[in-house]
Amino acid sequence: MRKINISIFSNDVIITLCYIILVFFGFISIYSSQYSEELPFVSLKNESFKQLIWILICLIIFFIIQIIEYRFIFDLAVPLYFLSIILLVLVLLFGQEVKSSVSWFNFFGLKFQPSEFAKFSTALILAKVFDSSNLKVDSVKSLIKVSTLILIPFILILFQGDTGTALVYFSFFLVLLREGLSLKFFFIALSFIVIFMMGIILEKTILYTIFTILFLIIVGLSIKDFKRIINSSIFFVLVILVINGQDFLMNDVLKPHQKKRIESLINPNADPLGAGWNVTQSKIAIGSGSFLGKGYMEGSQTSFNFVPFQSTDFIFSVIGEEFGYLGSMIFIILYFIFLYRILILAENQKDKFARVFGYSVFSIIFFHFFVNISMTLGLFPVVGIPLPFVSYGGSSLLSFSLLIFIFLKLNSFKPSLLSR
Amino acid sequence: MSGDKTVIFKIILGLVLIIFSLRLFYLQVYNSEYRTLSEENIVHLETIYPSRGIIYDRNDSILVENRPSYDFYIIPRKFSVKDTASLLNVFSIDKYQLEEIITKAANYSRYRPSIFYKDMSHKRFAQIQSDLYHFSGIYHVSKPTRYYPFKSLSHALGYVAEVSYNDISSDTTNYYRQRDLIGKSGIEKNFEKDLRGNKGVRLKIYDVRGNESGSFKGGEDDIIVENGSEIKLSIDIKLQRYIEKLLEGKTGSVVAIDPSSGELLAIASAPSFDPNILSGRDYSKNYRNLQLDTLNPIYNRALTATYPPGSMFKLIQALIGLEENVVSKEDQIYVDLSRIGDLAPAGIYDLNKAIVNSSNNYFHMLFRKLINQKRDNNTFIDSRIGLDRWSEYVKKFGLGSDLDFDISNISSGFVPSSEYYDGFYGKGRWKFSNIYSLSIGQGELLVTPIQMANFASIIANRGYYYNPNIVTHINGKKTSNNQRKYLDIDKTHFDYVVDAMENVVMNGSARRAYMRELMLCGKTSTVQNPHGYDHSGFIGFAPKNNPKIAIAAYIENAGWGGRSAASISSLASEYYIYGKTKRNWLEDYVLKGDFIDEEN
Repeated sequence: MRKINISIFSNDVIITLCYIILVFFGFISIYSSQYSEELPFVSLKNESFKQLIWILICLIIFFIIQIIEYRFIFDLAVPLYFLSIILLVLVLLFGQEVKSSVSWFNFFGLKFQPSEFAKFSTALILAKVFDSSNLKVDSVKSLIKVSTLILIPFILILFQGDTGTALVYFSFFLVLLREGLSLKFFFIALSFIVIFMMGIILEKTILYTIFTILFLIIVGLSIKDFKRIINSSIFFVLVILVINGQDFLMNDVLKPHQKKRIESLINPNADPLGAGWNVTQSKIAIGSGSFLGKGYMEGSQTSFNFVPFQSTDFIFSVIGEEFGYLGSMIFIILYFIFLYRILILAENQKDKFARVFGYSVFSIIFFHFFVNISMTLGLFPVVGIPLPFVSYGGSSLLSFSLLIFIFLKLNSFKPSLLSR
Repeated sequence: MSGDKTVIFKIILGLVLIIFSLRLFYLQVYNSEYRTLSEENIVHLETIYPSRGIIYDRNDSILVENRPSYDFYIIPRKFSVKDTASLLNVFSIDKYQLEEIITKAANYSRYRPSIFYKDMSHKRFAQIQSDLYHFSGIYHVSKPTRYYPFKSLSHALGYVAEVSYNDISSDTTNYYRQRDLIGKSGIEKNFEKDLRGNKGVRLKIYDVRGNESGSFKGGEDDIIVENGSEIKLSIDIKLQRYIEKLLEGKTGSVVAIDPSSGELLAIASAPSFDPNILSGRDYSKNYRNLQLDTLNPIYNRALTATYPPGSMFKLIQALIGLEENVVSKEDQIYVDLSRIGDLAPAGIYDLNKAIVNSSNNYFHMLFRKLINQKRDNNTFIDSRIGLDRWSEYVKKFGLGSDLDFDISNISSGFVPSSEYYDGFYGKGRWKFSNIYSLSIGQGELLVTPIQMANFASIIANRGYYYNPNIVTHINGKKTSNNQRKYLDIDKTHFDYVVDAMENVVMNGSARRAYMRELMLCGKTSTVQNPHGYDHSGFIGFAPKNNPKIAIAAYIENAGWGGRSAASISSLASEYYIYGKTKRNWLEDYVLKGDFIDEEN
């Protein structure tokens, strides 16, 4: 096809509108958290000013993407994936260490985080692989094949020490859930996480006793069903491994600060001035907002910097404090409309490439949103991942915008699909 | 493809939406504690302590002031010391005490200050100040502590100490907090509200790093501190100290009043103590020691000790007798020694001679005439009417009353009435012969030194008095206009008694106290004491005309009133009027204090 569709009106109105409002919400929240009488707005030290520059860059990128061809994106998937793998290796060798993780390149003061970019390229490669091989994740073999693509960047990012961003790669398994992965795996994985968390709260002997009794009951009930006995035996052994592995994971794999974060989630008062501080202060900020909030720029938690990383990971605490329950709910519901719309559009794609990519966009943004809000509300351990479109940060705003813009582009191309 | 592939994702989205809405509702709407917590985060309540009022004497000498003492606090998280021995030395504690303090502090909080050492004196602080920078995590706060430059007037001034549990629970205004100071006795207690002032509160905003960034709500909720009021006493501290010096080694008390105003010039009680020992670190130890002392130095004898007045009471009997017309100034009667034990010889007596010689039998006869005036034929009823009438007279002299004094812890003494004897003997079953001891100021009658000083003031004024008072000004304002109280006894009777009192000092039992130009008038008492040596008492005033000082003295177990009590009163009067004493021999005699040996 030769016709270039540059009409932005062919983009989905709901997603575009939500995107604009979310970015706006983010900008005013960063402005409030950064505001200081000594700091002029037009200054490279002012994060709200830098965010404005990034927003403008995104706008430019939006128009660039409007004019590039569908095919071009499709062809770019493989080279971009390899490029990001190379970058992830390079950053391990030459990267700059920030807050105990080596995930940044520093080009003459301009910081760039390849792990953010890798999310985008992994989404593309998954779409490409599913589309070109007409893959369906219904066998262990196909699962391993797809998982490898996800786990390579995951492990590289883990090596950087950026656990939060690495965890985001698990969101791709949501995509697999759509593309044939059995729900069983999903629930088994979920139950292991629950057992792991129980291991922190309860004594090991109590857990052993509970699961041994449960196991014996199941075996007793299904005495004639040999296959079920085998399955539950495997499951039982895995449970024992998880319980035992919890000590190993907590003491040897996780860094002390990560261990403390998990512990202080269960008991925030264990170390209120250390690991629990962020969560405690974030909860105070949000909770003190009450129903109507303290008013824009009036939040004391915000203006006196009680919440660390407030402009980035804890940006929602600004919204909670200054706009109250009403404002928070408007924001949350807006986010859900946004996510729901992405989900519906992704499912409606006739093209498998566009569908898998759409589901990837949905999964990544949903995962970020879920984990980020949960941790500011004290429901999840503090892992440093931003709230898409809202948190301060060029790399993250750029990579999330890229995901949305590409998805919008794929979606708006639907009518001309036949001409491909 | 079977069914809607998005169902599982819609369920997840729905669940998350529900969880977030509920969690936000819980945090923001249901649970209101976060609002408070956020204010607590930034608003720090700073209490500003007022400085306690300074107390001056009548000549503006400072009697009580505030000096800094130091409390030390420890923040366990920041605590580190290179040289533990030097720390132990500076605070004079041992290793185990140190460990105990640190453990206790760490158990309370590792981030907040706990008390480490209390009430270090300014002097000690100056010595160790240079060592303090070696100890990180230990901070000091200065606080005002009461200081008494003259180490004098301890009973009247009282002392301050940390509030007790009872002080806090009985404080209806909810003013006191733990570790606040409160007046525990004397003026410090009775004028607590004036002296303490009012604490101020400043609400300050702090950011996360503890930097102050202004006041909360522009300071509209702040409470401005009010410093304590200055109090001026009528006491002449020089006279006070002179009297305290004379009382050294003795037990008793002296009260001196300016008769023209009722203002107390001195109020001393012996044995005494240095008020500074009840202010500061060793308060509780010192207080316990004072309480255990058998001579009871903490007890203010001038206000609370009660004694029978003894012979000085004959002056009151004489005045009542003259007013009631049972005796006239010209009457002369023969007195034998048949009625009551007596040191005065038998012979012809008029009232003047009876006072000067302190004739017990004369006053026995006089009192009988007062009680039994034949108002009823029944001698029992007659005695009853007579006693009640007499009792009313005696009360006019301020006896049996607390005199509305500024310090509330005061005894009223005791003036017996007919009800009292009814209770003791039965109604209608007592008559003069049961109560005759009252005639010479013994028996059930009890008075306090301040009441007798007031009585001296009544005679000095020839028939009226002002309630004794000690606090004259609060913050420069006069406390009250004290009203003259007339006794309704003829002034000529007083003139007559004053002449007799002049004779007592010139020729009678108080000869030793005589000094020509002082013109001291007085009367001694030798108060019978069933428990040991008699008490020595004296009341008097000087000079005879336009009296400047009225004084009463009781010295316990010192025998004859003519010796110690009269001598001390005479010296004190001389010192007050002339600013010094010339009679060194008398001073030496008093300071030596061997009054008993002479008697044998």
